[in-house]
Amino acid sequence: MQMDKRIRFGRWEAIMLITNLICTKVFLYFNRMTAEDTGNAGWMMAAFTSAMALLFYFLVMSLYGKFEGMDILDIAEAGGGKVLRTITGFVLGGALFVLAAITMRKFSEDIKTISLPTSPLSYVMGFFMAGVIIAGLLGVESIVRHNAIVTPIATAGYIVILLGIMPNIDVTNLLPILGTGLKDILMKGFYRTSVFAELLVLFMLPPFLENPGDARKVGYVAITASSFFFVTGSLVYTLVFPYPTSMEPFLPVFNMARLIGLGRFFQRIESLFVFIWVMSALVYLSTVFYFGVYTVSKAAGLKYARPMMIPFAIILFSAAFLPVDLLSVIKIESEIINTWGWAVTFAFIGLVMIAAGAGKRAGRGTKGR
Amino acid sequence: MSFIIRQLKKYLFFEEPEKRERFILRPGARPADEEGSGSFEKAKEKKKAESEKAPEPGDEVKSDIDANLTHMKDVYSIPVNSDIVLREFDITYGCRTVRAFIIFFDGMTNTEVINNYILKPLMVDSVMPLKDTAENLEGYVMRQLMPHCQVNISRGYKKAVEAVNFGGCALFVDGLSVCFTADVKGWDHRGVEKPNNEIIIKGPQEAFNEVLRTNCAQIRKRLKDEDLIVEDILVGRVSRTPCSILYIKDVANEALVQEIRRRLEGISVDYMLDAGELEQLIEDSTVYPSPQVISTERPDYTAELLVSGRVAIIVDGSPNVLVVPITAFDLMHSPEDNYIRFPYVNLLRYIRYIAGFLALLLPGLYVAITNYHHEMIPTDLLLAIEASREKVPFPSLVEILLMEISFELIREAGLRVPGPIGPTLGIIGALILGQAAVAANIVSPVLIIIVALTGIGSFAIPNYSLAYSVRIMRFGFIFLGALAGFLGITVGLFMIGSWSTALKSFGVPFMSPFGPKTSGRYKNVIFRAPEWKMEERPDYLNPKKKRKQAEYSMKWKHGKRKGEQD
Amino acid sequence: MKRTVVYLRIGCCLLLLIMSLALSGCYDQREIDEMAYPLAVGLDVGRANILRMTLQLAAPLSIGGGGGGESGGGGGGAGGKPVSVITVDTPSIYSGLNMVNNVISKEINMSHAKVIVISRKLAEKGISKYIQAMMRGREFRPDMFIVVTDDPPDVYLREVSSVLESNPAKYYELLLGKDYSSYYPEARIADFHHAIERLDIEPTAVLSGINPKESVEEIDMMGKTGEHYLDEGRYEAGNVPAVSELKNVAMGTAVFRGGKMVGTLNGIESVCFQMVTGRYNHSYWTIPDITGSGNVIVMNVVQRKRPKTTVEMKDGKPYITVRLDLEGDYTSIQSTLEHEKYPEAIENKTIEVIRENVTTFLRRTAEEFDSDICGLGRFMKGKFLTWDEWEKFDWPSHYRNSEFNVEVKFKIRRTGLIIRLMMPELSAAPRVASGSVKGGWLCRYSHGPW
Repeated sequence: MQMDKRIRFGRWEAIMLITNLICTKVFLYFNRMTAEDTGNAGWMMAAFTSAMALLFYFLVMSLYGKFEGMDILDIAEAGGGKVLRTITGFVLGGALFVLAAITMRKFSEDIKTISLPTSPLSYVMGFFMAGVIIAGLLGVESIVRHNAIVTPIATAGYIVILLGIMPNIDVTNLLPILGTGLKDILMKGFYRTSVFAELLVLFMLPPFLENPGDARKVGYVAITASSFFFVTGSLVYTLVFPYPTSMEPFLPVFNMARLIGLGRFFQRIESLFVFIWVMSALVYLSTVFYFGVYTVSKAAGLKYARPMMIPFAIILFSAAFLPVDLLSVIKIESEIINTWGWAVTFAFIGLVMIAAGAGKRAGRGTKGR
Repeated sequence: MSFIIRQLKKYLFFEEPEKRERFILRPGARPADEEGSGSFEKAKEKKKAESEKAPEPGDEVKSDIDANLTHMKDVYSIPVNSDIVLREFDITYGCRTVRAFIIFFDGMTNTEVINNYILKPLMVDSVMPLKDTAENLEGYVMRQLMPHCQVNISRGYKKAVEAVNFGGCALFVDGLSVCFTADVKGWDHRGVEKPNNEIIIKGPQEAFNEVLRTNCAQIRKRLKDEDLIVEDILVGRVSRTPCSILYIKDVANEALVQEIRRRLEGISVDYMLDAGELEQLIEDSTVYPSPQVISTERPDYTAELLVSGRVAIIVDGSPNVLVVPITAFDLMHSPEDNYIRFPYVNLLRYIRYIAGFLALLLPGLYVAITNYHHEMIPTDLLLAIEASREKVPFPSLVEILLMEISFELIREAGLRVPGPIGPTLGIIGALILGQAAVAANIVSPVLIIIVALTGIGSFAIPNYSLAYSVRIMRFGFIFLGALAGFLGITVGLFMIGSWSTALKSFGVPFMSPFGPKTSGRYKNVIFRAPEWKMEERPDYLNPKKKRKQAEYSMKWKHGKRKGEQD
Repeated sequence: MKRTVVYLRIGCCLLLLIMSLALSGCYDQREIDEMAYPLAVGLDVGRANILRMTLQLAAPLSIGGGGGGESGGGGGGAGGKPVSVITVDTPSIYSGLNMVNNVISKEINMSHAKVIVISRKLAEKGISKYIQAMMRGREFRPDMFIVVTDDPPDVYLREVSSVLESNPAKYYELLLGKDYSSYYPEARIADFHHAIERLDIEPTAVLSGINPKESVEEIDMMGKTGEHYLDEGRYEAGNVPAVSELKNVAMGTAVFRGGKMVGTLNGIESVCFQMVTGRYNHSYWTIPDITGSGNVIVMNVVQRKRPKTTVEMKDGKPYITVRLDLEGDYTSIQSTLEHEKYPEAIENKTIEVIRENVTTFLRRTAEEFDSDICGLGRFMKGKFLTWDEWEKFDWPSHYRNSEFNVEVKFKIRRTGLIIRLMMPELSAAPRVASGSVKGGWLCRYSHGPW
């Protein structure tokens, strides 16, 4: 799609978009993952990971300075011509696509497990597909605005869960304070910077922003906000589920919500939780999917992304079925996406920017902004 | 089938998207950089040019009265047309006698006025000219012989015919290649009455009626402001329905006014009789369930919306006035919100949102919970529902559809039933039907509560059209709930949400000020701030003047008293 | 124009989608009246198979009132028994559910099961495999109560009759989720499951049983222990001197080590247990009068603050200090004691009683059960930096050597509606020095079974 000059949105929408993208995994597996990595020191790892992500982001952004207002594909083109643009676009688009496919599979499996156990997976996924296709066809404006509405609501729901679970917490669950050890926290924490992989959508955003200079700020705010969710999420989770058990639940936040019981009436509310959960999943999926298609089409120099929505959605639908079973989905998620995601989001984008900077200096003639 | 394939093809194969005009209301439509800016001046010049425009060739009024007579008879199919009156007479002045005729519609005009202020001076008083006016008959007729306040001179037939069609009286005089049109409207109409549908307890009790100018006056008498502009546009090739665009010149965004002008001028229909029709012709999305225009019968509410920077459209012959642009949240406001104190408004607003929620989702949630999420129901209630459903032969989906449809039936039938029986039938129908259905084990008692709550909820929604849309969507949610429980309902909400966020009402995003976020979200959207806190007009309207109150709107609280020491 | 067509198209696609979804069927759609809801599950050692499973199914017509609606009104008695009990012998829980579905017409849905009743025999063999099975299933709620009975669960569940409630589910929730009696702990299956897996805490369950007494004579036959009172907390579930229409009594705690039951606590020990864990709410304590008259002072003891616990390792032995912070109100002073004159004496007496009880209880957990049910190991964890060190330390092997030091703070706050008792004998009563009470009470005070 040729960048329609008239589609613009503000900083708040962008922050909500990125925050929701990053934080959806809190609902899914993040807490269990931290428990697996570092035992009961997951919150420390979350904090460390967020700090690392901020550092990486700072480094990448220090390269971004001279390209202000351009998205990563424009940058690649400015520095390395169409070849670099196409490569970058396909790498990033591919990464987003993998994210979308795995997350869709995971969410559908989750829903199937908790509320529709006898329905076939394709039936459950069909609902997600319907939402994704419609959002994709309606375009980026609708997706972004929807983010701005859904994210605060999902946040409120999440905080309700955290507050509701308060009577069940046990502070001594945090001890021994370092969990499985400092080495784990640092090493695994570094790899887990990948949980911020969705940040790469941010590098596609600048042309859409009302004020292109906001991109930098959006990233910092979104990372900080996400780190709040990550740290509170794994902290409360550890406080409620003691360590060895905390590796068990398939859906940590759902299991937490199941434990909520305030009196005889206010209990069994985890199904309500399906609402905020599915909502934020749909918003996540539609955003990642839309930007995946947008990135690919822009990299290929296509004028319109919209006609590609349904074909790509069908590919996505099929791709989501590729992993054989739930365990292999979890394996892909934790061992590939959340271990090497940083390589795409930070390292690859950083390299592209360095290459672009070098190319620009060498080419000199290229007109940036 | 071929239709489906065609539709699928459209999605699967590439097709160059059609360029479409997209109107987005941008902040600060400054004169320099926006297309809409300066549009007021342009409109002014256009109007001026229109009124001075020479008639098209062939349309000019001839100086030969017989030609004119034939032409008018031809136009009005005289003598087949029986309510048109063509009166021929002579004007005698000085020593000359000139043939003349007037033409008007019987019943649409005030014959008293025609007799006394048009015919009498022309036929009787003309014989004694005060000075020699033989040179300029046109000036003589215009300035002295027609003691009536609204007389125009037109050089073309078209204008004359237009005037006659809208309750005017056209005068043709032999030897003059002009005709005089006098506005002598005098048809019967309803007076200003109490509003029928938007009933409030406190506040003004006047409603619009069907007369365009009365309606304009109703607003003008509330907003005594020379910047309140009333622009007329005729819509409908045949019906030529006069519509007025009302806005406050120094508040409303010019691009917005220009867009409304553009849309109204761009309507090409033969007949347009009511605001309801116009609404459908100018709204952004036809299929989207909820209205994108506020249609109100209250002049006070219209005035308030105008003040905030919106634009009103009055259609002649319709007691409803359209106000644009709006957001989804405006539809949950009631005119009364402005007249009652701030704590009460907030209570009422919560109630309304709860009502909207119930009306939209309750049956769907019931179906979802009873079919999929049994663990959510408290055990006691679960067992009670199970017991009450034990003898019911239908699945709960059928059960709820049955009751919802009967409810809609009662509602629709109650409208048709003549006068005093109506409400009785509604109550009796609902009560007896519900009670009997439960007794006959056709539905379970819990369901009656659900349906009743839903019905009450939909009546508590202040906007009539919104209530319709909620009723439609409710059925969708029932089906989605039956399909996949909460998952289905959430996906439904997501779709409606996506659609709403993609939608614009006259360039204003429908879900603003939340998506996209603009300022003033906590002033008058879901909550309502105290009156003195309503300092700014809605940001998303991008009005010319942001503030509508001084920083200290209650000066008496902050200012020093005279003679008071520090 | 075009826009409309787009929406129409979207609408068409949506309709198609919904229709195709609808055609493919609503797989998980179940009407409420197509399901049967067990309210309690009983597990026992089977004869014909490994496990004997008992389901107590709710009979909605008698609980929720008749379908007709007119006559349904009063109570649960209208339509007969509120529950129906089914017992099967089965290799595992889920295969048992399959078998039950052969018997009853409706599909079993466990999502409203409130309580799981385990026979003592099974509990002693180990129940962790059943607990984890239930934690894995989505229908079993993590907040189910877990109860151990001496009697076979099928008998136990058949005896359950709720007189005060029409609905047995409410009975379980009110009985086991109580916060007005502290003679048994609140034991939920999620905590139980966590405790099995943890090193620093051991699981517990509510001890319950059938009280077979039909008449007051049977209480008489329990015998009398002279003129001195017996502390009301000394009983366990089966031997409570009570006669009631309600046969099921919850009293005491079942103590587990790992997944196996190792012993029971009586009522007063359960109170101590909850005091140490900080989950104690309030209960009445009967304190011997300081006048030595054989009368008692009844104190409503409340735990305002969580206890502070520290664990020190000395010579390879854990030294555990538990600081309880309690307060109380007088509810009854049987003698003519002018209590306002001797608050310290009464407080000290209470402290002594409580400390004695708590210390004995703690020793018992360490020496007799070798099971850290209070989770005192949690306070040891902080001494280690990483999980590996903590695991290597192996707390459960150290716990049995623990030395306990219980410190109790107790303050009388209120006196009820009567601030000062003006009985006629009051002035005539002999003034007692606070020193003279020493020694008198312990010999008369019975500590229950040990």
